[in-house]
Amino acid sequence: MVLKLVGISVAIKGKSILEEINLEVKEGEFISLLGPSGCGKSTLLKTIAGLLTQQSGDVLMGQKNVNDLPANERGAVIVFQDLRLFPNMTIAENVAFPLKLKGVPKAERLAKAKELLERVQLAGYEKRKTSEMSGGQLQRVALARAMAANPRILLLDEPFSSLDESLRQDMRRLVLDLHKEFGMTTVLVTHDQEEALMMSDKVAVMMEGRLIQYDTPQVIYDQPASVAVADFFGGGNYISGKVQGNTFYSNQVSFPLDKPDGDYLALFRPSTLGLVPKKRGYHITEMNYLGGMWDLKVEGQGRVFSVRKVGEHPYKIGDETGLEFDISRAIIFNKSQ
Amino acid sequence: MSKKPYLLLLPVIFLSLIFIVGILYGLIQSFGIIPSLGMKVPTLKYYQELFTRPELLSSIGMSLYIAFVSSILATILGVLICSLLVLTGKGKGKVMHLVKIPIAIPHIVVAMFVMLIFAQSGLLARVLFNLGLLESPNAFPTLLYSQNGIGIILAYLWKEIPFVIFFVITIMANINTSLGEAAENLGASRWRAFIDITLPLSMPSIKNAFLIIFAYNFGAYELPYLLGATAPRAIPVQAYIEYIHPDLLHRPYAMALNGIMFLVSFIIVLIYHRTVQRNPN
Repeated sequence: MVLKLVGISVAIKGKSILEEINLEVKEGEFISLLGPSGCGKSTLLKTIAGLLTQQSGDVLMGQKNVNDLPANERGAVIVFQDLRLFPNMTIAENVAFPLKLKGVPKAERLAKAKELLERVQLAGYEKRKTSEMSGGQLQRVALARAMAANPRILLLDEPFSSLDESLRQDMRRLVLDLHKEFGMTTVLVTHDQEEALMMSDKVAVMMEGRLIQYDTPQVIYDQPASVAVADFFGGGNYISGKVQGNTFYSNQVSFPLDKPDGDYLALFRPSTLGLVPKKRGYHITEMNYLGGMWDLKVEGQGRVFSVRKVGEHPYKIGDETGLEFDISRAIIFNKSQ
Repeated sequence: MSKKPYLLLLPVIFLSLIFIVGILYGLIQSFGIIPSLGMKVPTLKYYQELFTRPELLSSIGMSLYIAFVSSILATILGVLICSLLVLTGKGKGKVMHLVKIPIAIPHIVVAMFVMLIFAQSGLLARVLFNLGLLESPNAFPTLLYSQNGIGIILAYLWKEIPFVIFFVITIMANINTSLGEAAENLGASRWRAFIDITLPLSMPSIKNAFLIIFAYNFGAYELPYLLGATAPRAIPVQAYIEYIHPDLLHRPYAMALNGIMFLVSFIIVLIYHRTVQRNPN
């Protein structure tokens, strides 16, 4: 089901949370809403589901305007961050709840719940209470319950944030598998940029209630729309300079650049810088191990650069070195904009 | 080990001692042991008499009747209003300030309101008479000082419906905005989400509200004294009358009545703890 948001603005208690959000998610696409805490991404999710009403703008599902459709008829199901399983029901009853609402007979809906629990690797847990399950298991119950509602659009509100790393990997795999298997349109809210890049067809970066950039993970990472977006993906080494006659000039590096004259900022991510042992001008001041790679701090010409080095390296603190810039991967921002 | 923890426990021990000594002292007297009056042989006589003397037996009946009817009605009406407030999303605004007022007003003042309004010569009777709805003010039904206990029940309702709302609304509103919202999201109508999820999960706190007001209504003195019939009297009123009886030998009756009230309250406390334990949230 195609999901389309047109000019959505939401205010809660007179405070503006979302401003003019436009977003289109194609049938069967998996997208992420990415942004820092408090940027309004969960609010947007609730607005899509109909649990909040927007001040202006339209929510369209499959070309149909659903502004006036109450939450229980929208078919956009949220897996909440705090899960919200019903403590007065068994695991199977929780999963069967959406079917009970549709009037499916008891035996049939419990059989369906059993099937869904098997699908999320929780066979045999049907009769348990929610208080007798671990966090990771409850997460999968919440997912199974959402699937039981047969959602046209699945909305995931930071579903992995409370899990430890290995469980998180399993859950991501499971969610992607279910997404493909059921052919849903899926929107994932997350503040974890790696998660967003790894899982999504497209990423929507949100900041302070606005949608800043909406594109494929590669474009978001390689061509961030603003310094803020670039910073959200780890930032890097910013170099101020000028463009004159189709050349970028700065103290550290100069290279041809086909842009109009003016002040520019060039961003070199740590992975686009390299050390040149035979040259001089910089020396190593700090080395941090990141697991499989190193982050080296290199000082020279009055400032510090961050350099990513994959695998082991021969350097030690204090070594003199030169610095090379992979100019083909420089990210350029116009300072006057 | 330092002695400090025990020192800090002193206030609690002191308070508990007063409570336990008081109850034991009363219970011992209820078994007919008051050495200063020369009564030294323990006996169940006073309890037996309570259950055979018709006016005392009807006292117990009266107290149970008032406590039960007023608590059940207050709970049902309170939960009903509470539900409406939660479902319309008005559970947090000015309405709650309004709800707190009756909780703060003393029972004795409420008794006065009820007398002024519901007596046969009261405001309501005169208004109805002047509107021509009553042939004479005396045609107004007897609500006060009567065996039906309606005056007492009305006063309790005025005090306790707000108490039930106050006691239940926070939990009910929280459940409704989290789990109720989840149910709606899964396809339940607002009403269905409330009935299927919010109400059953609010039940422990509703039950506890009921138990608290039941225990109070069963043991409270002022409303039955001010608004009740001369016979049968509620247990606390009867106990007080036995207590101030000129013949000191009557004191064990008062204590036996207290013993019954203590037993009922104790059972209620047990039930309360069981509901709290079963639902730690």
